[in-house]
Amino acid sequence: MKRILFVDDEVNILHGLRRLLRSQRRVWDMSFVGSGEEALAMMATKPFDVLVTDMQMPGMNGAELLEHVQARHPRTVRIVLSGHSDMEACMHSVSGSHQFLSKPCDADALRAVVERACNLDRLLQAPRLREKLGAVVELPVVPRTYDALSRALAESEVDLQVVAGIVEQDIGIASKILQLVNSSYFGLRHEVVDLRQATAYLGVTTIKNLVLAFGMFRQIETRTLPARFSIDREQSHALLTARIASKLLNDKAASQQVFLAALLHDVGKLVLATHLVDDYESVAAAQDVSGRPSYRIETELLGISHAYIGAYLLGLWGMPYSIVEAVAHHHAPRRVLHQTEFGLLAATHVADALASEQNGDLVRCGELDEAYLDDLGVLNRLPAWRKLAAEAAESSNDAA
Amino acid sequence: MDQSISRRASELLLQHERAIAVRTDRLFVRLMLSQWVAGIVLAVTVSPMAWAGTSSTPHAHVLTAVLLGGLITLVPVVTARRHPGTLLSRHSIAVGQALTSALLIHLSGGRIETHFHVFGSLAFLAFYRDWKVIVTASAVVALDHMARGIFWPQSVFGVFATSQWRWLEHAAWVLFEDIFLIHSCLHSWSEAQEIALRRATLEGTNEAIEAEVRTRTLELLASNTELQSQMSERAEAEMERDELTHQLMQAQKLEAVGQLAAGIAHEINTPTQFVGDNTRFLKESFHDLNPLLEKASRLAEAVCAGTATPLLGKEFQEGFDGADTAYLVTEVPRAIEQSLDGIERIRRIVLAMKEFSHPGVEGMTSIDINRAIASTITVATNEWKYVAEIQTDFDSTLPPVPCLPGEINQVILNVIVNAAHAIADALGDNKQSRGTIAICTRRDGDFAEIRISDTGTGIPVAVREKVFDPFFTTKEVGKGTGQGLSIAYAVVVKKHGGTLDFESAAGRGTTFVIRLPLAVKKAKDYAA
Repeated sequence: MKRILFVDDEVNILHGLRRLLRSQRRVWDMSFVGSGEEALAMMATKPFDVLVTDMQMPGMNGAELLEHVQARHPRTVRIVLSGHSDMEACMHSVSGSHQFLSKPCDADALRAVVERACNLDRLLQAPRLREKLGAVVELPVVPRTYDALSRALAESEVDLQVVAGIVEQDIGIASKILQLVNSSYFGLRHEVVDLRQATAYLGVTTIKNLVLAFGMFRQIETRTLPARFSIDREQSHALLTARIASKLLNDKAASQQVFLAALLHDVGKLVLATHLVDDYESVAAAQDVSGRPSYRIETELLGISHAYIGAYLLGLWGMPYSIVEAVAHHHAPRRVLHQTEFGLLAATHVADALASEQNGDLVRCGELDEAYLDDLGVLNRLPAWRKLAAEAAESSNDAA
Repeated sequence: MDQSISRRASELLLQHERAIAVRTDRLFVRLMLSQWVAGIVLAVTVSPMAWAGTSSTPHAHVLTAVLLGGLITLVPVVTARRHPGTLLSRHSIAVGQALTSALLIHLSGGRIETHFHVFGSLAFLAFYRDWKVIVTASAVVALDHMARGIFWPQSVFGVFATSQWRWLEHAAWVLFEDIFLIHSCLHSWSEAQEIALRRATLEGTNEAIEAEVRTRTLELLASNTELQSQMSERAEAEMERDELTHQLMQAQKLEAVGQLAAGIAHEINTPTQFVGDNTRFLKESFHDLNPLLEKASRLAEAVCAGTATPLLGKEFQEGFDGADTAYLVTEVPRAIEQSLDGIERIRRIVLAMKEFSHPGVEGMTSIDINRAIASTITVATNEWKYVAEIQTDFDSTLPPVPCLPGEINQVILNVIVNAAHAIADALGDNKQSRGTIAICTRRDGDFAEIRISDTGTGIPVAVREKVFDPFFTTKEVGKGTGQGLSIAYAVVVKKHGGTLDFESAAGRGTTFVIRLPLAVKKAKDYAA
């Protein structure tokens, strides 16, 4: 049974939540407390899978509670449910929490978010990694992209198109922007997966605040990165995969969604290199010897591949499920059952493989599952896709 | 200054000298013409005819008197006419006058008495007050005496033979007179110099005074103009200041509204959340209860029809147990109760917002100040509830207070928010405890008195005098513009004719006392 802890100084909120979620009582073990202090005391006695907390409380406020929980119980998924409507408070809670919900929150949305948070451990069973990843609330940003973004935002007349163009080149910035825009702060009724749309929703002022005032983005310190890891190579592979993938699907909405899934498909690698350096080093060393694809070695050595690590993190941050799924299974798409048509996951899988081919990176190359494509009835399109990939690679090189 | 005076003095002296010269020239012109005539008369009278036998011709003396006298007279006269007041004219007059003396002496046959003419002439020439003229004339006299005394003594001394040095004696007498005349000339010259200097000085002083007067007048004019422009500038500045105050007030109002809006949203979002949750729960509960109701209805029908079986009863019992009825029976009324409570909270805050902002009310209105304070406390709930509790002690007999409701609410809000901040500062990291804000109202003679006390940090003695200064703030950047109390002061004192004071004890807290007159003073400027 999953343990969930709700914290709010308003007792009526707790009563309301208890009644609302009574139907879950057989699957969730729910506790309700009125202050941060009580919450910490309770968490000390037994582990909780999910924490849902208010922000503004007398005594220990939400931000402080989140900080303590992040340090003491990193495995607990931290969700904010706040009555605040100002941007500043939102920014502060986003930085300490995995997800942000604002009051009044739709009952179904609340249930869905908590439920998904509860089910995340299916992606990542290793408790050690979960602890490590629970502390990760953001992805570092490539300094070059950060500079470009700062410069674009410092212009007297900020061009949103330019900003969006920069945002969609960086895994760290893109994931944060997406997390924000999908937090219920913006009260959007639908999930936003289009980065340009997300940028437009947030608007120049918010992005400026994020980047310049709140220092939301931490730049990668390249000297602390493992020697075998090249952030530029990762970044360009991610971008090329995204460009190829977006051309594989004709539907506009789908092509934007797959762009994002493909851009983020190797988030796990970035996390390994920046937050789990030892693990990254041992995998890379083994790879040097055997020359096998990294995800296989990771599964052997760490018990999990970078695909699942990335998916777990994106899930933790409340990213749309379709994207989490595509990221999780992009090496082995067959794992997801009942697929009948060529969609997000399949396109991400194909684009990753084709992008690797283009770079001549045969080691990295996720083996293309041609039988799977045949099952979906799209194997005959492969030559045309290869051409598309070559064009995309060429235009990327031109742009670089 | 001295240089210009001496320059002016010599100018004056020159003028004086010239004026004398011209005047004396004129005198001599007349004198010499009359002497010429007199000489002719003398010659005609003394020796009109010269007889040589029977034939007679006019005596040579007469001719001499006419011709020589004319020459001697006309040269200087013409010169004096042509160039009056010049050196040339006066020296030619001196020469002419001396020669006239000589002529007259000759015509009188060298009579010694006629020699007095010389002395008289010299004395007249002294009118020029120029010793050189006297020297010239004396030299002519001396030379004339010398020449004639040697070659023609009869003409000058009236004798045929005399000592050839006699002219020296005459010259000596002339010199004797000259000494006095020259001395007198020099003296008069220096006097004239002195007078000129004095006059120049006087003129200079006058001019300086006049200049000073002119300067002063100009200065006065300028300062007058400046004063006028200053007055208009001041009027302009006052208008600008009023405008600025107005703008600041609007800005502060907006700031407060913005701050309040976030707090109010929070206060509304919270009950909305649990009302929504409860309603959702009620919907689901009713959905769960519905089949049970159907079963109950069937059971009731069966009982009435006498067809009731134990199976039917058991079925209902199972449904009753499975529907979590016991829980619903206790929770549904609570959910309804709490939802109504939540809705009441939302209703209250919306109403308080309306009362707080007083839309559409401009100018003085009599209001129930207790109610206004209560509304303000409600809209500001989110500002104080995490650090303090509010105790109120309202005087229910307080008559309506004439005021600008929106602005008085603003003042009360500012003081409450300050109180909350002061308490938060006093609590510091001790987040478990809370302070108290006590608000009481009472009537004090012709005034309504509102006291707002907090248990905060108190106002340090050093800043007490600056509390009402615009832009003075001890709050960190972003927590206030420093306008709150300055505007509160303007509103209470200037717009309402009330008073705004505070009592503060460091470490123990502050009490702000707002006193508003109960009678409207028409004379006050109530312009918002």
